[in-house]
Amino acid sequence: MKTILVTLGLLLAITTTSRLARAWDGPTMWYESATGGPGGADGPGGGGIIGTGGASDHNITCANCHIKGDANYGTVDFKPTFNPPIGATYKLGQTYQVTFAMVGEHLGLGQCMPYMKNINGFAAAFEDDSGKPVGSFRASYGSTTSCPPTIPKDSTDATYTYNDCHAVIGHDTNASWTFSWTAPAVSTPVTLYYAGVDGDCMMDSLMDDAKVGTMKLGGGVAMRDAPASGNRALAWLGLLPAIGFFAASRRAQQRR
Amino acid sequence: MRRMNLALCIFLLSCSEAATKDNPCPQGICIAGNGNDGGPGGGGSSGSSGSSGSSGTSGDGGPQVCNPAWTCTAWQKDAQGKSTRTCTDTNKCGTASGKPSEGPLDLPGLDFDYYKCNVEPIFDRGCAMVGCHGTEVGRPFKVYARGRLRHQETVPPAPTCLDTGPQELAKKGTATVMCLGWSKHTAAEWQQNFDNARSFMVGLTNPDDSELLSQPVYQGKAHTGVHLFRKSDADYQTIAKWLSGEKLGRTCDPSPN
Repeated sequence: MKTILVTLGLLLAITTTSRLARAWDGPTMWYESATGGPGGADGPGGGGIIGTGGASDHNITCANCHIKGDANYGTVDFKPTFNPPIGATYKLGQTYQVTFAMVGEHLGLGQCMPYMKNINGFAAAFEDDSGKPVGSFRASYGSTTSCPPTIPKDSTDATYTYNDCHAVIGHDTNASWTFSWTAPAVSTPVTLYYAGVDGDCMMDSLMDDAKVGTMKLGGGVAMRDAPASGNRALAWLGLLPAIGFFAASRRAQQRR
Repeated sequence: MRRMNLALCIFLLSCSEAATKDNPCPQGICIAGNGNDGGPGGGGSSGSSGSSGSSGTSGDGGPQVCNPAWTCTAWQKDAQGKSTRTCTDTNKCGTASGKPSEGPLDLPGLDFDYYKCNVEPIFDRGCAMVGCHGTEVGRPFKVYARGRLRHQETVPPAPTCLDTGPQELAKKGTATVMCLGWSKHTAAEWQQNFDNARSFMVGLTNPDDSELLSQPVYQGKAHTGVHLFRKSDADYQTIAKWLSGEKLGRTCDPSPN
């Protein structure tokens, strides 16, 4: 009986410990205070610096923390796909579904030790040449238009945008992240800043792999060449009176 | 049931193994820093703007230029009450260019409480990343912070972790928020952060001239492209006020830092 009690006690200790065993890059931690305060709140956190490499993050990247990489450092990549395809530049006001897939993941794939996880990371931001966020996000949780102040703890959504919504953050156990981005309605040069981490099981920022990239999206063009399906339907609705008038004229001619 | 207990005991007993370099955390909960002592940004970054200030040489095709990477010990008071330290060039460039002051000197008498409550949080947030100023090597400005670089000292085990006995804070707590990485700043960390930061005001009268401000300010020095604030921003003003001698006027409780 005594053994059982001791064992249960130790298991309780492990459970209590695991409550704190959250990765630095847990999605709730990015906007927590870097000092952990005030008043003993959770932390330390990222203080709102997401590490995309954009001006909104002071050009700080994920690689500023994820250092001392393993032997295969630099082999992971994060490939974006736009739907509809973005081509040479974006279309003004177009909403794109953007999916980033981690290619070449090579860390944390085996069995992690108890209470450890294969923690990855991803974040992206769209900025104009002055460094201001442009367009709007809709993530699995949160959107620019109704930007939530926080996200639920232990949420399992794939992507998040919250607090100041300057970036989209990926859930840390995924290897693919999808969100939508609506391009600005007014033409302006846009750069996509993105950064990702292939984490190992150790839940620290050492010995991981990291990739930082940018993608110039040009200055944007009007959407008349490829209107969205919704806009196309509206256009047909607008033509209905003309079609009705044309049909009525034909019928009148036939009667004569 | 007995077999289950036995299995649990074997598992739990394995948690008490000593940490080794290859297995720094046998119990699988506390994370250790690794033994790799590469310099800042040592892993490089693919497609990254990078942050390394310690690459020994630079220049593509042109003459090779050796960039010193100064590493300084903590400030110590000598018998006369003056502060001294030793700075060495990690890159061994053979030059004294940019060598930080080693003293002996009087560090500026700035307010420790103002630093703890107002200035350190700015450094923790924007400077202390382990690839930036959260490193022991190659950067005269060094910041110890929770979740980032921890000081090399022996501390009691974190109460929420399974380690027992004295622990090496730097090894167990660097670059993680788990266990010792989560623990409060030690007195040595506070003192060294404070001394290191105020030494950037030695010989200056105008805070704007201090590299604590002239490097990270927009339109300031290069600072590897990382600029944290403008002169009109609150963070700049806070650091400038501290460097000018402003006092908090009370004892700072930096909890939970």
